Amino acid sequence: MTRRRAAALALLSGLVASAIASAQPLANAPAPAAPVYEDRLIEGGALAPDVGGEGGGAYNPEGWPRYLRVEGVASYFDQQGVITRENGARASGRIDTPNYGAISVDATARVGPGSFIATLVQRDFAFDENWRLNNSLGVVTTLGIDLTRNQYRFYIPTFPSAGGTTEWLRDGNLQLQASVGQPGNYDGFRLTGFQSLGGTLATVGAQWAFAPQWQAGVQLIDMTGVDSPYAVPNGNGTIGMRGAYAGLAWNDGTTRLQGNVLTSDASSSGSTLHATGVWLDGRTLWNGLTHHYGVFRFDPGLAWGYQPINNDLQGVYYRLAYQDLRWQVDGGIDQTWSVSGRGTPGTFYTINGRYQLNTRSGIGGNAAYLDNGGQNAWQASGFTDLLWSQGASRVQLSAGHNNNIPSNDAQQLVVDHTWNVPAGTRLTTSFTATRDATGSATNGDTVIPAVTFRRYGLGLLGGGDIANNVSIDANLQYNIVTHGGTASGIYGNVNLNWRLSPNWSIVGTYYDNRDDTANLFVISPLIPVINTLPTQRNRAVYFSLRWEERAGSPVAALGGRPGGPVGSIAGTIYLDQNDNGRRDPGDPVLPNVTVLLDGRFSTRTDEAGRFEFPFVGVGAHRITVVPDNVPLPWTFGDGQFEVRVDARTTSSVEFGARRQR
Amino acid sequence: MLAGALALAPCVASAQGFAAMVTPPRFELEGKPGQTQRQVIEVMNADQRPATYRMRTADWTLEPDATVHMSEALLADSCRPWVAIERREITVPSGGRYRYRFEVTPPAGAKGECRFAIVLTGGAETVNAGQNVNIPINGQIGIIVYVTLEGAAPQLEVVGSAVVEREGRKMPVIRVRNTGDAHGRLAGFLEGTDPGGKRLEFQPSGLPILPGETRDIPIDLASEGDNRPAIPFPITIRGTLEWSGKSTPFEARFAP
Repeated sequence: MTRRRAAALALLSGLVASAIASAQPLANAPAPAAPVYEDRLIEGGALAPDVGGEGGGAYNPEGWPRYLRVEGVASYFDQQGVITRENGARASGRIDTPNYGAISVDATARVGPGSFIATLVQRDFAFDENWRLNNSLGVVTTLGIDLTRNQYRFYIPTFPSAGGTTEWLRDGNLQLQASVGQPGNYDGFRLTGFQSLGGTLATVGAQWAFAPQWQAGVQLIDMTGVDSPYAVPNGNGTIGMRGAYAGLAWNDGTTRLQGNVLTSDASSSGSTLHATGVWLDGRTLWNGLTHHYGVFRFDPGLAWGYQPINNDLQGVYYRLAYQDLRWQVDGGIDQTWSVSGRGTPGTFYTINGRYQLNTRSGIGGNAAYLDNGGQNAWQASGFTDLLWSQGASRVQLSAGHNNNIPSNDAQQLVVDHTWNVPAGTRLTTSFTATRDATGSATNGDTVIPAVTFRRYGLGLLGGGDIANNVSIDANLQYNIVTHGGTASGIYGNVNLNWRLSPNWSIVGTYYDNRDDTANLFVISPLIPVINTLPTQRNRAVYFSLRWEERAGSPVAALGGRPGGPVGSIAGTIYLDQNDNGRRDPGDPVLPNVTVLLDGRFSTRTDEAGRFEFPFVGVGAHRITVVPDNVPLPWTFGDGQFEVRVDARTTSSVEFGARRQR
Repeated sequence: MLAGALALAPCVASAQGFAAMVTPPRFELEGKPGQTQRQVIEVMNADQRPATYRMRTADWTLEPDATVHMSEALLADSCRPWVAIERREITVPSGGRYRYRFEVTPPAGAKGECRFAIVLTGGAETVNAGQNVNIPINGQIGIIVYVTLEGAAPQLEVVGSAVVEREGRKMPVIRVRNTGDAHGRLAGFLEGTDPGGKRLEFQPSGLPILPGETRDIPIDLASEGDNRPAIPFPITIRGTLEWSGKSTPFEARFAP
């Protein structure tokens, strides 16, 4: 950065930092001293110092930079009278070795229900010839080459597995990887466990940038003897699957084309179903516009591992996007048909727009229409954003309709406001009013009457430092539903973090849901209509006593420079339901999502969607959200976010998945 | 007078023996005559050793080239006598956070805007600059404070335009006069059309324009990063300039 620009930026930020150099050469006579002004002192200087923070502890400079956290966890869950007590311990350690890369260990031991999982991760293990190696052992996530992850429209899943993975990278041009293990699913609330599905799942993959603008890759998968709830093709019993994916991508900086072929042989109960999928995705930047387009065909029965993927579907799609300082517009069309003829053809139109009226206000809206074999649904909404003296507000009106049997009409008003509050605190409030009317329907001789719900909700999401060593965060919601009579409910989630000393801290959470007025209202033609159903009343208490220590010299924090100061990153992964770029009280969170720091250090979100990287070097860092467990149609785009870390502070971040358009 | 060479924008100044961080980076307060308001600056010490910082107020002036000059001596119109600080020296443990308090009490009948800085100095070191000249180096952070009194507001007016060369790059500037009694900053979305008909987006710099002064405000391409492309001239730039809830249409042709 140039000196002048730095000066301008410094003044913009108001903070002026300088290195003051004063020399007194003998030849120069000192200038007459200006009269010194003596500042007045509050209460004559008698105010007691208000000092706190994490500091003060003795630091052990011996050894490699390292971090260790051990915590005991006790929790109590009451789900409509069904009591679960989750008690156990969790440990996580990091060490940044000069010769063996960064090594992380995460382990969780749980009693009632009993479980023990551990993961050992080694990343960025450097070799000659610019080779780098990433390994993991324990409860891991199977790997996928980059071409399988760079999917704009379709999803190739990876799987939790008890086993191991290895990945070899060279110069960003060559990627070799393999994984093998017993697949399963994560379970638990606060203490994550692993539930095996039996059998074996193995993958191998290779990707090669064989010419400056070309990349090719192959991914193979072999699964045998797995007991899966998503059994293919019959849905029962032990299943097996063999599959292969091949991709070829070309990118000249303006246009990117990626061709993909996937074949699968899914076996169940002695029968095997062979299927093939072929699709081409393209992106062209032209004259300020971004065009996404593609054509696809997926045979019936197409599978990948034990999770469902697109099948019995063929069609085309096109998206157009434009963005400048004031405009943000995108729209598209998808046209699909059933390959087997058993399904119905579908057309999906979508358009989103936003216009920045001035630096403090903007308007926008979106609309979508789905026609699926004569059944159709539409949705439209408009909003206005206003930045004013009290903070940032959004008012949004939405409406939707579908002609299913029974038909459904819904309207919704949402007012969100993020308040301007003192540094170290945060507060967002939300008001929601919804009308949801479902028409009558006939089922044989039974007539299901029409029903109309009206739901009003108030939400509050906020927190802050209530003392130097104590911070609190809360999410509170109050809802009223009228449907014949009136019902009300309240939901609360309060987190307290109390740092007792440089090494010891207490984290407590109380969660209480006494709300039968579930907000299942989602206006989206792509999401099936879910009638308003009562939620389970539940409550939980969570308590953790944590000990952590860092040591080592020179201080090279995670992703930091030797000798540099450190902070930490804590965040939440959530679904941005109203696509306003902010986390609102009703936005659901995403558990068990893998998050990487600078591509080297990995962790997973907990049941509350939270993740944390303690002991991170000061400066800008890249957080990657690996979309393994993110449901479609939600996406994080490329999943890359930049986060700035300041010394001895926790950078709180929230990453919201948006609906793919 | 201490002439500080401005060094960096983020809220941290880090040199050998000086690793202080300060939040917030700037105060823009509203005040009432006769009423005291107390504010808190958080000072964090990122060094592994405890640090002692000297705290004081200072007056500041903004030079035409956007550099800031700090003055320990009272300037003629200084409002620092309205200011009281917590103490003149603080010690912050390694990794600690000190909540440093200051108060502003505008006297009855005061009008306009009070501007001053809270200056944190520390980490005295001596380096050999060659030829046996030892130069003491201090780290210093100045937190700019604006206190706008009731009714005070900027009144900005574009009084001219020009093309200037800054660091080897020709750039359009607009000359803005502030006839109000509080500082203002320009914002807004501007568009230009180059000789080939290509549309370009511009934004005005957010430099403060202090009451009574006329300041050249650069208008630059809205692209990110330091390596901004050259601006094609001649170019006509138009749009709406905004400040403090007000706006005015703008159109000017710039040619070197």
